[in-house]
Amino acid sequence: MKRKMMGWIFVSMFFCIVGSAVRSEGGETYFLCPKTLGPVYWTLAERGAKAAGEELGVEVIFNGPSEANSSKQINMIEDMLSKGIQGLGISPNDAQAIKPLIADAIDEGVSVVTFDSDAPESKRAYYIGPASDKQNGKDMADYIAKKIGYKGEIAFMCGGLAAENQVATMNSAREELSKYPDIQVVATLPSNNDMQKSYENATTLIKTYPDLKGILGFTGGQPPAAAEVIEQAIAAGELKKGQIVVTGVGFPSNCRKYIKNGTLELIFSWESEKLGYTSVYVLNKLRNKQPVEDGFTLPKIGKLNVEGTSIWTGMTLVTAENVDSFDF
Amino acid sequence: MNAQIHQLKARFLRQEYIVTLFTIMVVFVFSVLPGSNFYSLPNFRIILSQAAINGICVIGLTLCLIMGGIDFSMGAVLAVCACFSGILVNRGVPVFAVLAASVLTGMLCGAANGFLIAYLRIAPIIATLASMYVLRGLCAIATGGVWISDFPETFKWPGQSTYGGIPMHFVLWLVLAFAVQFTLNNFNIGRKFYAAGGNPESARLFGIDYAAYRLSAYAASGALIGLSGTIYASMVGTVSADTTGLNTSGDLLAAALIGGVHINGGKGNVFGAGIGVLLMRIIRNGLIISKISEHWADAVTGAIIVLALVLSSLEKFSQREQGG
Amino acid sequence: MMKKSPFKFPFNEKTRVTWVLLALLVGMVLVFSWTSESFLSRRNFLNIMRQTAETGMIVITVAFLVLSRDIDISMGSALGFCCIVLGLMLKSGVDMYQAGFLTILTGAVMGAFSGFLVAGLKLQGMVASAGLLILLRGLCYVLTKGYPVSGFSDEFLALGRLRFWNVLPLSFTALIVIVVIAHIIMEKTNIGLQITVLGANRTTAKFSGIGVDRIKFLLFTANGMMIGFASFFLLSRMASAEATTGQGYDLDILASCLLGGLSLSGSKGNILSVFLGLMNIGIMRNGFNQLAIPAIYQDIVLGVVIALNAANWVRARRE
Repeated sequence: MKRKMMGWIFVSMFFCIVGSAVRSEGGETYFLCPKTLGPVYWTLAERGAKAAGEELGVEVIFNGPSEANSSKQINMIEDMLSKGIQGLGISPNDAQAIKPLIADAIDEGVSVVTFDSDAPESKRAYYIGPASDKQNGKDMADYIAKKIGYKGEIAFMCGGLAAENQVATMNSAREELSKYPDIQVVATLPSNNDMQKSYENATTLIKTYPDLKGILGFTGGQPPAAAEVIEQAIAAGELKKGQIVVTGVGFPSNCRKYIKNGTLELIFSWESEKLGYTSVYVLNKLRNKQPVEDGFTLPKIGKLNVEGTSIWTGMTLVTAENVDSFDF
Repeated sequence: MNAQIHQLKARFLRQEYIVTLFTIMVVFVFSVLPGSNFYSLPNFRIILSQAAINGICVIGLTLCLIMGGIDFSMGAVLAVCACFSGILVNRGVPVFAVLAASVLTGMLCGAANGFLIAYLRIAPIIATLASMYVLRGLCAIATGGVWISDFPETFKWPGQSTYGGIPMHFVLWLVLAFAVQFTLNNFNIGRKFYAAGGNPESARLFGIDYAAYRLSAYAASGALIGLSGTIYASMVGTVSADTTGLNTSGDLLAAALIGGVHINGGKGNVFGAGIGVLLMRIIRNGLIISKISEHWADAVTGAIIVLALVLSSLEKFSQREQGG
Repeated sequence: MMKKSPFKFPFNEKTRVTWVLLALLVGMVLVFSWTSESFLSRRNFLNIMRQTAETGMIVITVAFLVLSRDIDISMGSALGFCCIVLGLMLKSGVDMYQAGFLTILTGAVMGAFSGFLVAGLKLQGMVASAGLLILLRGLCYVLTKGYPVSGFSDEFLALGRLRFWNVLPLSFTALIVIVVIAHIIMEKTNIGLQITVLGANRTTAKFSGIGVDRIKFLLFTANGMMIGFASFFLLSRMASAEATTGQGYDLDILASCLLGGLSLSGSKGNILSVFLGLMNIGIMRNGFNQLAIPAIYQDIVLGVVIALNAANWVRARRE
């Protein structure tokens, strides 16, 4: 029992020290809460956000739950709200669940924006994303439709079905593809962000639909998994090169190999660092009651597109030519 | 006459046989469903290939279960070893060295678990739940959340090579399973595992160092996970701290339970657990291939587990009737 | 086993854990209020209470199970399942209170099924709940097809934010009531005595004529019902349920029990200490969140704390 107590006292002393380092200096504090912590996507967003914080002289706290779980995310935000923050940026795991919380925050005078994934029915002031999900879905659908010659079977692979950005993008892609009578979307497979599941989904996909012509991935993990499976199948002689076109949302760091091999010709990417950076700036504008106008510029990024309450930081199309020039 | 029937019952109501029967039935069902590619060589190859990774890990879990312990941290250890393998391979370390390093790492993690459980006498559920969180957290911190991929061509063979169409790691799984079970059945050390089972008292009476055996079970399990971690990295091509091995522990435990490994220790064999792994993989695969929504996969698996558990309790009742 | 007369200071072997935990609680409150100015605010306490209330209810019934030397690890999936069932009912227009009642019923059926497996088929709690864990999670996916269930009436959502005297949330009040009742049951009633005996030694219990099977069945069913009850509050606060709801709660629930001195090999705690364990963890999580400690570290610390607490430092017999 004594050792237990000693252990606890030790732990709490440790956090005293950590804690005192985190005390705010009396300036503004913004809290950015991603869907989860861990993936380097968010580490880069944090980098951008903290950089903006330094430029503006505000304290930026970046923290998220360890699992992409909306109740833990909500708990975290609630706790930070009672700590006292002035600006809040969220990438919500569940767009519906976050609505009451956003309303509460706004009632308390906190400026709220969403980034990476929206909560469109909430009262958040702005949504900062790479491009509109609608536009993304349409662009991806158009690209893959063209590549397969406007006819054939296509499958969707996504991470999870609760995230707003994926659902909206998929719906838009589906709608766009329905314009082509000879194209069918034969399956939509979620992977719950489990890499092995994506891999298995892709493997089973190409077996289930031998006439499959295209795979569209809606989160960063899907195209590389599909590409890996296809490359292995080609090596085993089960598929011909170029038989299946893969594209979708991806990032240079994990798609590099497949882009260079030609299995992926083009992926739709964007820099999460810009999202973090812009969110902090927009929060600052809101706090200082500055207007957010279309085409406003930011030091590191340049011009930003504003459409209603959405701010687009821009998509980056990655191909074999420019894949090495990115660090994300 | 009655005694004979009881004997037959006791022999054939054994869970492993029931599960095998189940598996054959399921395969049959999926094969005859219209429009499905299930019953085809390439598909079977996929199933075997994907099952192999879990299969190798489940050998380790069986060892732990026989010693009366459980392990929830297998997914986390898998992630650690897979990421470690990936990092080493990308730094140009030769593949054999990577395999060895991964096995060693896994063994260390397993031994840590074993130490907590055997010597500090923390209950296995708790110790492994705790170590799961700790290991996964450490892995995330160490890798910085980066997705490790882009492995060199030389790394392809652990996870992707085949002998005449049969995936190599499946063969490896079979070999390991046979080796382990053979040892358990026929060598003194193996028999001691069963004897010690979940019962420290009887172990002591037999002169078995219970703690040491438990620790070695976990260490061996860890080593096996290390092995499959490298194979996993090679097969899937991308690993990361937060997407690797997320469902592993649950799947493995389910497979072992289905396969008749008793959670209190002392009973069960590696083949039963292996069939459990196969069955689960077949269900998942079959559902996708037959274009049934694969959301049913977990529900069906869960139902089968419950069914298997019910059947296993019948086995217990029949034993009691026999007076055994 | 019976509490000493209220006029004597109840500090003995049995209640030692409770006092230690109380001391820890006070200690943590002090530490956190020093490191974070806003810790000692009404608002923050509201948060803590709301966040611990739902898990707290389940912790109590799980504590009963552990006290009787059994365990249920399917709480997370069960919670998700009940939330989804409740959500679907609400969406199809079922009246709020009726839906709540039906959810509790669903939970009861769930628990009764576990109870049947354990008491009737003589399976171990661990095993039965492992199977249920997967089955229920699978059903979650089937029912939701992966999409979240949301869009509830404002009336329902308001329940999650209801508070008395602006400081005590409804859910937490319910928790306190439950804790009090549970404590009284364990300490003062016959059943409590029976459970304690069962937890100490199953064979003795059987020979004492205690209906072991009946009690276990009852406890599992009660656990299921409580999960249904708790899901009512959780859903109201979260406003949405998805297939993965409830994941990650298992650790906190088990940790609370452990901290409260319960263990599968003979418990040294009681309901009160479990409650204090729960509050300790809730405060810790809240404090960590406020200090912006990354969630990964939080889990690591929790894992280490659990391990430390569960370690049997007394190595009397080398087995």
